[in-house]
Amino acid sequence: MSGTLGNRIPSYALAAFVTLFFAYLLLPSLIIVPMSFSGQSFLSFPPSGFSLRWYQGLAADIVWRSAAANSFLIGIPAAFIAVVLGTLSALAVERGALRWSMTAMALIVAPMMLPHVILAIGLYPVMLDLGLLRGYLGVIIGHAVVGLPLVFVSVSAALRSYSPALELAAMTCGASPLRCFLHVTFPMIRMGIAGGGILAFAASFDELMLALFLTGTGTRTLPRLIWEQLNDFLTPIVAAVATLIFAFSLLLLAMLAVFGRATRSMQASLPLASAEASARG
Amino acid sequence: MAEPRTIEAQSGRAAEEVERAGASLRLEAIEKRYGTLAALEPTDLEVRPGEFFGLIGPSGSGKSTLLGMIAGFVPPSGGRILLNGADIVGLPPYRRNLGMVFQNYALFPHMSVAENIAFPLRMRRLERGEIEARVARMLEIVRLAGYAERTPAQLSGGQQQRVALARAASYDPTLLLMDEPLGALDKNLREEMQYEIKRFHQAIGATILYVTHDQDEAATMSDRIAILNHGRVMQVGRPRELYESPASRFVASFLGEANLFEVAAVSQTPPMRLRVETKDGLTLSANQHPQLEADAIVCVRPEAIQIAKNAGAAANVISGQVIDVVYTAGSLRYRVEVAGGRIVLVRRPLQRQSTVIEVGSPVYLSWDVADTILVPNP
Amino acid sequence: MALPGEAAGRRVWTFQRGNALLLLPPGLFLIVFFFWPLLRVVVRSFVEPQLGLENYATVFGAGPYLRVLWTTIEVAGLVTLLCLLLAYPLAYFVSRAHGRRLKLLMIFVLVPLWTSVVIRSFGWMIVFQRQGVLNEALQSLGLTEAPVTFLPGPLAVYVGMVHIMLPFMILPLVASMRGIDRTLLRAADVLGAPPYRRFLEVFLPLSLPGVSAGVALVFMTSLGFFITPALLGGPRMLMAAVLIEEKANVQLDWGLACALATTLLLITTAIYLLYLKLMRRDASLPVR
Repeated sequence: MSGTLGNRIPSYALAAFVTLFFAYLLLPSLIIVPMSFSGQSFLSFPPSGFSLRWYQGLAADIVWRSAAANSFLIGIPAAFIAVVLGTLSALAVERGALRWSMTAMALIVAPMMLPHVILAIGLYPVMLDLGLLRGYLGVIIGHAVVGLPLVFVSVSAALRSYSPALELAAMTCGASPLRCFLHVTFPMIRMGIAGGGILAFAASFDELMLALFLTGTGTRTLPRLIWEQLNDFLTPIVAAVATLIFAFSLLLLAMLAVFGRATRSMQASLPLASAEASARG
Repeated sequence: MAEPRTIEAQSGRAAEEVERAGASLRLEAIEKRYGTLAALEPTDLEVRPGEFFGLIGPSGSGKSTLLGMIAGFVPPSGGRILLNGADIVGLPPYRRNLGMVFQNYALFPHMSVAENIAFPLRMRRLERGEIEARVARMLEIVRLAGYAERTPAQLSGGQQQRVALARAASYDPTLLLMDEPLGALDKNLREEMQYEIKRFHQAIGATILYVTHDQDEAATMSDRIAILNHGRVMQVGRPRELYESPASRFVASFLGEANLFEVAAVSQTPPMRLRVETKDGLTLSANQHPQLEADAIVCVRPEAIQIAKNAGAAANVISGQVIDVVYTAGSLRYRVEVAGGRIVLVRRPLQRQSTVIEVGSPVYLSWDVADTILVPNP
Repeated sequence: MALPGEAAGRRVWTFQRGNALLLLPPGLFLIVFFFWPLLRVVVRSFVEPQLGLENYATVFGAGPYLRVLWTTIEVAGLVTLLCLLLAYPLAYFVSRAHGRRLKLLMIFVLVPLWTSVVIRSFGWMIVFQRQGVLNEALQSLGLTEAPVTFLPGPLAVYVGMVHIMLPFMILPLVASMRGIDRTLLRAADVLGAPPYRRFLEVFLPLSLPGVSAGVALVFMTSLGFFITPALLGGPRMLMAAVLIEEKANVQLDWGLACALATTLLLITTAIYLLYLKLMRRDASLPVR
C-alpha cells in the first residue's frame, strides 16, 4: 500500500489510538516507579513527599534480601539445566530427522503452554516423595521444566537459520561428531543458547505458582514474598521492590536484544515465548 | 547437442599422470529402499581412477541418493561400496577421506576463506606450517590468492564455489563428490565455472563423481556418464556413445533433442541395410543392427537432417511442410509437418549466408543412413 | 558377496541417528518431572479421598465449582475477544513500520511483556484502589463524588488481563501481517478494488492464520491465569487457577483440587491441539 493507509481513517485518529494504546500498555509499570519514592507509608496516588526510605528499608531487611538471593540461587541453576536439556532437544528435533518431530515438538513445548498450577499440584507430591520439598532442588527442577521449552524454541530457531549441509560438510572434511559440534554447530547457535538461557532465567525469576507450592520459608523467592506481602499489607516497600525488578527486567531485555541481533529469526519467537512463560506463573 | 568436447582432449594431458592421484570406485549391488519405495535399485557401477564421471537424470532418479551413500550420509539398504578395493559402508563420513562440494557450497559463515580451507587440515592435525602452505597452494589453484581473510558473505557465487572446491581438495582426497555445484549460478558464470572445474580436475588428478541435472554440462565435462531414471542406471558410457547409440527411449530423449518414430516392420535389404516402416507410415533406411527387437524405436537427431526445397539423393528422404521457424543463438529450428500429421524437428546452424526457409514452404528432409539410429525399447 | 546393511542388523551410524539419541536426557527429564506429575494429578482425582468419581460429582454437581469453570471460560473468551479487537489495528500499524520506527514500536510492545506479571498486577491495584489513580482522576474531573470500589471487580480484572494478554495477541498478528505479500495488495489495486474491499477480501483473509494463532494462544493462557484474577478479581470473579490453588494449599482438599485441575487440563489440551493444527498451516508464525 502506498503512502497513507488509503482508506478514510484520518492519520491523526490512528496516531491518537496508537498513543492511547501504548499509554495503556505502559501505565502500570510506570506508575509503580513514583510510588516507590513516596513519603507516606500507605499507597495513595499521587504520592506525596519524596523519600528513599523504602529502598533503605529493603536493603536493611533480611527477609527481602534473602528472597532476592533465593531468586538468583534458584534461577541460575534452573536456567543452566534448561539450557543443557533444551539445547539437546533442539539438536535432536532439528538435526535428528525424527519421523515424529512434530509430536516431539508439541510435547517439549507443552510445559510452556499448560497452566503452571496443574504442574505445581502435580510436582508437589513428587517432590514430597523425593524429599526435595521446600528445598532448593525441588523448585530448581520445577523451573527447569518450564524453562526448557524457552531454550528449545530459541535454539531451534538458531538451528533453522542455517543449512544442515554445513555439518555434513564438516564431517566430509573429517570432523568427528564432537568436533563438528564444537567447531561448526556451537559457534552458529551460541547466541540462541544465550538468549534462551536469559529467557529461562527471567521466567524463573518471575515465576509464582511453582514457587508457592515448592518453596519453604527459607527458600522463598521474590515473587512469593511479594505475593504474601500484597495479601497482607500494601506499603510502598512493595513498590520499591517492584521498581527494582522492573529495572532488572529491562536490563535482561537489553541483553536479549544484543543477542537477538545476531540471529534475526529468533526475534519473532523469543519475546512471545518468554512472555507466555512469565504470564503463566 | 553439439559435438562433446573434453578439455582433456585439447590439453593432451597424459592419462597415466591422472590415474595415480585418483581412487577407483566400485559399487556392487548398492541399493536404497524406504519401506517399499526403492530410491535406488541394486546397482553396479565402476569408476576408473582419475576419471571425471558424470551422474545425470531427472529429479528423483536416485543420483543424489547414490552420492549420499558414497559420502556416508545415507546408509545403504544393501550392497558394497569399494573405494580402492576396501568396503567403506561401515565407515562414518568423517573417516572416509573423500572430498565433497555441496549444492549451496556449505561454506562455514563464521570462518574466513583461509579458515574454511584449513578446516579439514586441522581435523587431520597437520602442522601449522604445513596447513598454511597447503591453504596458499589451494588458493593459487583456484585463483583466489588475495582473498584469504574474506568471509564467505563477502564473496560472489562463483568465488564461493571456488572456495568450496579448494576446501574439498585441500587434503588431497583421491575421490571428489560434487552435488550439482553449479546449480545456483547463472548461465554465463556456469560455463566459466565448468571450465574452472575441469582445470581443477587436471591440476589435482583426483577421481571426480559429478552429479547434475544439466545434460549439456555433464556431456561437456565428463569422460563417462551414467544416466539414471527412477532409481535405475539406464546406460553408462562416453557422452558421444550415449548420444549416438542410446540403449533406450529414455536415454535417446533425455540427451539432446530427438525425433522418435515407432517401428511397425523391419525387413532386410541387401547389402547390409534395413528397411524400416514406421507406424506413421514413413519408410526409412538404416544400417544393419545386431540385435533388433520387434518394438524398437527409430531416433533421428535434428542436427542430422538436411532441409531443402528440392529432394536430394540421400538414403532417407521425406517430404513435408514448414510450420514454424525459431531463431536461437547460433541455430535455426524448424518444425516440419510430414505425412501422417507428424512433426519433425530440424536444427541447422545459423550462418550469415544462411537462407531461411519460410513458414508454409514445402520442403524435403533428408539424412544419411547412419543417422537412422535404432533404439531398443525396453 | 554383498552384505546387506540394515537387513543383517548392522546399524550404520549416521549424523541424524546420533542427534536423535540426544533426545533421551531431556525426554527422561520431562517424563519424570512433567508428564508423570500430570498423570498423578489425573489419577489422584479419581482416587482421593476414595476411589470413585466423587470429586467429579462435586465439580459438576450443584455447587459453585461448575460456575467457576464457566466464569473461567467466559472471562477467557471475553478477554480474547477484547484483545483481538484492540490488537488488530495496532498490529496493522506496527506491521507497516520499518527500521528504527519498527524497533521502537516493538520495544513498546515488549517492555510490558518483560515486566513481571506480579508487578503489573500490582500496578493495576494502585490504579483501581479506593485512593488510586482512577478514583483520583474521576473525582478531580468532577465525575464522581466519592471513591468508587473498582477493586475487586470485573472492570479491574478485564482491564488487567487484557493488558497482560495484549502482547500475546500482537506478536503473532504482526508476524503474520508482515508475511503478507505486498504485491497481492498491489494486484488488488490494479484489478480495481477500493481500499475497504481490498482490506476485507485480500488482507483480512490472509491475516487469519495469525488471528487464529493469537486467539488460541491468548485463550489458552487466560484459562490458566492466576495472578491477575487473584489480585483483582475477588470472590465474585473466581477463576479456575485461583480456586485450585486455594483448594490445594489452603483447604488441603487435594482430591477436589486435582479434579478441577484435570478438567482445566482437558480444556486447555483441547485448545492446545487446535493451536498446533493452526500452527502447521502457517510457517511465518513463531513456535513452528
